[in-house]
Amino acid sequence: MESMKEEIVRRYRERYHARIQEALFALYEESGAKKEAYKALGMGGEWFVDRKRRKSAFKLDALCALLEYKGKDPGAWLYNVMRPEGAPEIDDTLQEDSEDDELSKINFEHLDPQLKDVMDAVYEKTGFKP
Amino acid sequence: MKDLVGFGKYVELRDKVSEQPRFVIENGGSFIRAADERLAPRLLAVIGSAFRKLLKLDEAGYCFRGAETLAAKNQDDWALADTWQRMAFVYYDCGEVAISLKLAENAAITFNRLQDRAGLGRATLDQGIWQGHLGHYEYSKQLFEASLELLPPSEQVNRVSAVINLTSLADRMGDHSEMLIRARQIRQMRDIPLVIRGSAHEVLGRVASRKREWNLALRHFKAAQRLFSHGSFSFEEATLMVVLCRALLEAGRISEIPAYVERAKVLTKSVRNKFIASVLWDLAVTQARGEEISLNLLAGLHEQLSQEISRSAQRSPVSLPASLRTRSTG
Repeated sequence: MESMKEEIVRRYRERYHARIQEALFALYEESGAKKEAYKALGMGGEWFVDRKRRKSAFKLDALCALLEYKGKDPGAWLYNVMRPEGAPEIDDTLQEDSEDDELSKINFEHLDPQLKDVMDAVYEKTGFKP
Repeated sequence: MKDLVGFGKYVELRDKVSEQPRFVIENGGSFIRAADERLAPRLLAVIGSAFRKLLKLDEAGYCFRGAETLAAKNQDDWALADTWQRMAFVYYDCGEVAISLKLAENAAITFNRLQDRAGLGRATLDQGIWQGHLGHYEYSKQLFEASLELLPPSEQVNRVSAVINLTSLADRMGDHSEMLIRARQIRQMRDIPLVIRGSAHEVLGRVASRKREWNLALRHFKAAQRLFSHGSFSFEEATLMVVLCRALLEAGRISEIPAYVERAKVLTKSVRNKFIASVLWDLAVTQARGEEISLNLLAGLHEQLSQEISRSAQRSPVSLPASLRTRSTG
């Protein structure tokens, strides 16, 4: 069965790229990364509408990672951006009990004890809790 | 990168992954605390590689996932590409070679855009490895050759690795003249780290086996074993045991096989590929029963092993770490 992300990629390939570009611009603008925002807008041709489809897959991966960091479910978020005219929006918040969120909680019990020290160091340094 | 002290620490840690993974893991936290926060994703990716080296794939998965998210947040495309390149090896360990290939392709595109020639060379080398595992030998060869042109002299480890891969590939493609040319190239290379030196000896041993120069082949295999054993490279040593037993078998030196079977028995405890472990274990059990190892049995096992390894691209010998399960080849 086609996953949400696979569906997104397929639909993107069916010429929804302009809306992704628009959404990417909004996302970068909101996060204060003006240079990247204008790159997304002005260089859309090279950024997202690349003839080599693998390049768009790369950007999609980066975008998904960024969205997850911002607490959004990438699949749902992109669905909302690309949904057909008139279709209702779906909740794009990363749910507490979602699989992704479960995965992000590390149970250190059965892991190498040094991993906790590494992750603590990352948290102390960046405020990011892997 | 303005933080030169931090960057120096990053380089120190990165260069120790291959031979001192435990050092990297034990000191990873303190290195992250001491460096600029922008270096955190790069350091985390290096620590991920060290966990992977020790076959701790769950731990590696968490590091890579964290590094990927942090790099995306920092808009550090270089760190993102570096993470993908390293992460690809965990997917390979789990039999997901198509994902490994996609990650290496993405890394190559990014390094190319950043005009990082060395990075592009490394990612091209990795693409060659994954294409080879998927059975695309001709394309794999082109990628290895391209990586050799791209990699600067400072990337000697990867340059040697490209030549070793070209030699192995020539062996698989039955191109013996190419194999001999590449073998000569390996012999001329200097400043090779331990594990690569081991792999170089292994491939040179295989070249000598092809020429039925058994004494030379066994000298190379034994040198490879000493290096793998010295560096605690259990996986490499375990797979070498099978090649070595095969060479002893063909050389008619059956009485020497049991000693390597005993060694294999010890190594199987830490080998991640369950099939290799089971083949080696079967050999060990045969020995333990005091039965003479039949030539046909060993030859049969070797054939079976070769086929299983080539098939491993399509299956998962070990399950993927939970942290990396969401990615697809989409």
